[in-house]
Amino acid sequence: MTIPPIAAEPIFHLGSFPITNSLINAWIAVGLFVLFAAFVRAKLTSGTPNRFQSAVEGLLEFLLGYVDGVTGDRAKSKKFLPLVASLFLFILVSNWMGLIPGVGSVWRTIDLHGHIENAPIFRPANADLNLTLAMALLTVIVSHFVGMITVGFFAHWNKFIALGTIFKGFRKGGINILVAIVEAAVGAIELVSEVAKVVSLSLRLFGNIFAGEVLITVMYSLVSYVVPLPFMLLELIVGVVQASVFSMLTLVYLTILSEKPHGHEEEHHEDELGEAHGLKPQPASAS
Amino acid sequence: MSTPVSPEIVNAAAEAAVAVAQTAQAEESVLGALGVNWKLFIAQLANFAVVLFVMWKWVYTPLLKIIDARTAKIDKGLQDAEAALAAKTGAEKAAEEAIVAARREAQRILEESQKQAEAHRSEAKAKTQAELAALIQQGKDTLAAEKEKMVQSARTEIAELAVDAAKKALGATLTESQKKALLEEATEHLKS
Repeated sequence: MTIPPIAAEPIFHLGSFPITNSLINAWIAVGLFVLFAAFVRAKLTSGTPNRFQSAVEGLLEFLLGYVDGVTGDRAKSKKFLPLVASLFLFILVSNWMGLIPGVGSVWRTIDLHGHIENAPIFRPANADLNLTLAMALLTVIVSHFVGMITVGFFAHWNKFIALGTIFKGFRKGGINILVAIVEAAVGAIELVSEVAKVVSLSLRLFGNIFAGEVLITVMYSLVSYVVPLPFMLLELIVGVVQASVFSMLTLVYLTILSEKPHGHEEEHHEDELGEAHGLKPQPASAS
Repeated sequence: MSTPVSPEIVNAAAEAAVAVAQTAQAEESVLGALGVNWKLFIAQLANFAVVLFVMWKWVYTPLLKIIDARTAKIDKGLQDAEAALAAKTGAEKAAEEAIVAARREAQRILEESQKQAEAHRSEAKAKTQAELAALIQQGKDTLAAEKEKMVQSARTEIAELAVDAAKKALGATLTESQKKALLEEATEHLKS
């Protein structure tokens, strides 16, 4: 029995570039998605949709409804859908591909760090921190871009580095200075939490899938028949859950950062409405 | 204005700094052990980017466009159907109204013609009656005149007869002037 190591094993090298087993799985998944997308593109008709198109549309509408539940705004949902749905589908397919017979069980003998070892040729793509980290970083960076575009560059970064808030606090004087400084400190903590987002997103997915792979390998090596089945069922569920967790969190980050900051809106309304201070509408919040 | 430095701000800032440092340090030492390799990282990033790109370009954008177009089409169809229904109801109502109006008109014309016919009939009747009365009157007048004439001629005849009788009785010796005087007298007698 060989328990999979935490890092994906390079099966062979292209020059100095290591081709790992997780990378192979990711490529297969990417290939599937390219084929699927090309097939959809070819079959697409604006007339009466065929069954295949109806199914894809149904899936898309379902995902869009899901996204609507968080954003509460159809226009916003449509903007976020490509990233969120791609994440969900790609993670889901990658996770489930890890359960196909052969993944984790077809071996190649490799030379790893000086000692000979049997390494599986296929390993779930998300059991490699590189992929999960890449998606998490991309997601968080995209959410910041979305924030900068929707609420403005300064309003967005003022949430984290609250120089504007401090400046306004000093201009107003009194207790406002203290409030502004506390807000600035909170902003700094927010900045840390942005890093934590990347860490938690990537490690959660990686940990779950990697643990699943280890679990099934162990079960399989203990009793080859029947016993691993409940765990594989569990892994099916984990695959969906982790895919939806990753995409839902992405969606929440996108939604939060695309909303106007509270103080900004308050002042905006004070300037515009004056006496209607108590009636300012709340920004659409996640329900 | 001076910055009031409060302990909680310093604390928060220190905590934030420590957290950043810890995270950075943890990542430095842990990342390599977890198998993070910048080459693989870029390859995997490219993988997901390809998925995102093809799905975006070939699936989401065209499908959403088609769905939106279809939704708009269906909405328009529903609106049209509603409008058509409203138009149909309006037309039906108008037709019904027209029928009712036509019936009322027909009724009115019928009544009027009946009234006219009635008037015509009574007028004709009155005219006929008047003509009849005139005819009767004329007849009566003619009769009266006839009678008068007969009486006159009878008187004349009787007077002549009387004169003749008197002449016979007196012996036909009267002169022409006496005869005439007697005749006149007799006529005068008969008249009174």
